[in-house]
Amino acid sequence: MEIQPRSSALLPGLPLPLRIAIGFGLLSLCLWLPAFVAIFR
Amino acid sequence: MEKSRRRWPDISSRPVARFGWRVWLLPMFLWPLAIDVVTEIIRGRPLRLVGGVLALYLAWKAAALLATRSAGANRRGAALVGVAAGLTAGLAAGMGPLISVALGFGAWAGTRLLTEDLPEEAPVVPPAPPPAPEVDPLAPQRVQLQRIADAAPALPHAAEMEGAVSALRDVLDELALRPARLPDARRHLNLQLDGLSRIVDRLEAGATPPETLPALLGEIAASARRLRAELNSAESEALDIQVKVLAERLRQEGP
Repeated sequence: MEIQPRSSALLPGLPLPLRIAIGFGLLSLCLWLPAFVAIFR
Repeated sequence: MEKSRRRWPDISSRPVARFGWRVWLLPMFLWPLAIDVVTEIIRGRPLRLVGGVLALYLAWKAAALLATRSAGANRRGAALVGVAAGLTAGLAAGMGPLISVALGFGAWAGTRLLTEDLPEEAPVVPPAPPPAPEVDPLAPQRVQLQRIADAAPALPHAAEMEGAVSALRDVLDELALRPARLPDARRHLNLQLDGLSRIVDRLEAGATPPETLPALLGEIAASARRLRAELNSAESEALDIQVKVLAERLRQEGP
């Protein structure tokens, strides 16, 4: 089956490294923060 | 020797998993959740444990879904990560609904930013349905006529019967060429075919044919020939009108 490359719709025009860095940061915050709160609460 | 050869399941039809580093990254975010699950087991808090296990499961499913690269996987995978983050915050951490939704949204946006440009398979387009087979609008009449033609040689007045059958078959052939005329001719044709069918049924049942039967069969044949001639002449008239109209226009618009 054909694999189609996809362009970014969220924050268009943002360079890929910056997008990955922001994504990484958001995921860290939103997954780790509640997880650590759950551990230490 | 033969026993040592192990048969592996055929996985050729399954979606191929292509783990890029950005997809591999997602489970790496889950280790605090795994620690939380162990913590909740030790502390014995069932609701928080359920939240942690559910979130872990959904986040793992999201990573597996993203890895398949199937159509729409990026979008659905990001949504699953968002739900997982929301569950962690709401159930496992007890952070309140507003913060949970915000964190879920943040996790969704983060996953989208990380993975939205990853290539995925084109959606499968269902093949176009095969064209409907052409239906012969005269099929019932042809079947009826064939039954009469098959029975005719063994019946009294076979020659007249075959003459009528032949004339009716010519009408069917004529109508096949001009299906637009079918609604006009159908009533007349059905009347003749039904009448002939009933006569054949009675004769096959052993009835004695009346003296007027040959004349009637001749009338059916003559009527069928007239119908065919009418169909033909109607077509000729249409052509005649067309020729006249075209000639008139050429005369008016010509140089």
